[in-house]
Amino acid sequence: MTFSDFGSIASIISLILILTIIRKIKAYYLFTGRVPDLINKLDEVSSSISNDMNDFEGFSQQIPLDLGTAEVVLKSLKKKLGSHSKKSIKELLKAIKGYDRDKQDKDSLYKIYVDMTKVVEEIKGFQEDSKWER
Amino acid sequence: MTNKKDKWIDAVAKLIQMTQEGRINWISRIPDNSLKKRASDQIGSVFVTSYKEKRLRLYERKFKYRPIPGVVSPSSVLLPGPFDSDGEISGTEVVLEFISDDELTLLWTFPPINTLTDLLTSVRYQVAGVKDFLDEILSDDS
Repeated sequence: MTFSDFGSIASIISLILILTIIRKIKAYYLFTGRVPDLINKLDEVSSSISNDMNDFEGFSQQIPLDLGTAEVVLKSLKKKLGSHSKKSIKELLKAIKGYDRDKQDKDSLYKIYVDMTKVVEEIKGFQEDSKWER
Repeated sequence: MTNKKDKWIDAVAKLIQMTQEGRINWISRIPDNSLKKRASDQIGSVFVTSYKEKRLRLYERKFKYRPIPGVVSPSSVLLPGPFDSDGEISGTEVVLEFISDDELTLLWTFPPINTLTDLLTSVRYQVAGVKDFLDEILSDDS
């Protein structure tokens, strides 16, 4: 191998390192930029779902709307988060998709509400931790 | 990923469910100054209930604080002593506590989690009798 070959290998390794660092910086700014708004929105939706359950029959028409909003927010969050939170979001999306909007099972809805709240708390925890990563 | 707050979220969510289903009933109390951490605090609605020989108290505390520059989580910062009027920010926390049967002694406080706000909403809904009011007024033909 010549010096030129070593030079090429070093350039490739540097390029990979730089691209990795750029990806991490981009992920950090995406996380700190958009995620707080999305998590606040999800928090609002979970509170709305809890409020709907104060009168389950009375607010039965509002529930599918709240679940629809939650789905949109969760899908957007999933794209911006690392693998650590994606699993809980995937499971929550599955539960929301599986919720029978005609039958409207209260226990399933409570479970969705609880899991949604846990996702909010989990991501808020990561947000607090990420503030120390600057 | 299991978060240590999960157990508290489950417990408070269960309280919400039991409140909404009428399995536990809350009663309101007159706000008490002993619940203030500082003289400038304002205590909102206070509610108590009993569950399996345990007495619970739920209330809202409004407070003011001056954020410390560089501290990004102002909700965790409360400055000691009197506040200046400049740069103050208002905050609210919902507190759930175990208290003695005579309601005079604080025994233990739940950790602060977002679900407590939803619990307070449900308790207010129950105590105010909103569901019955809506049913009656919507069925009233006069």
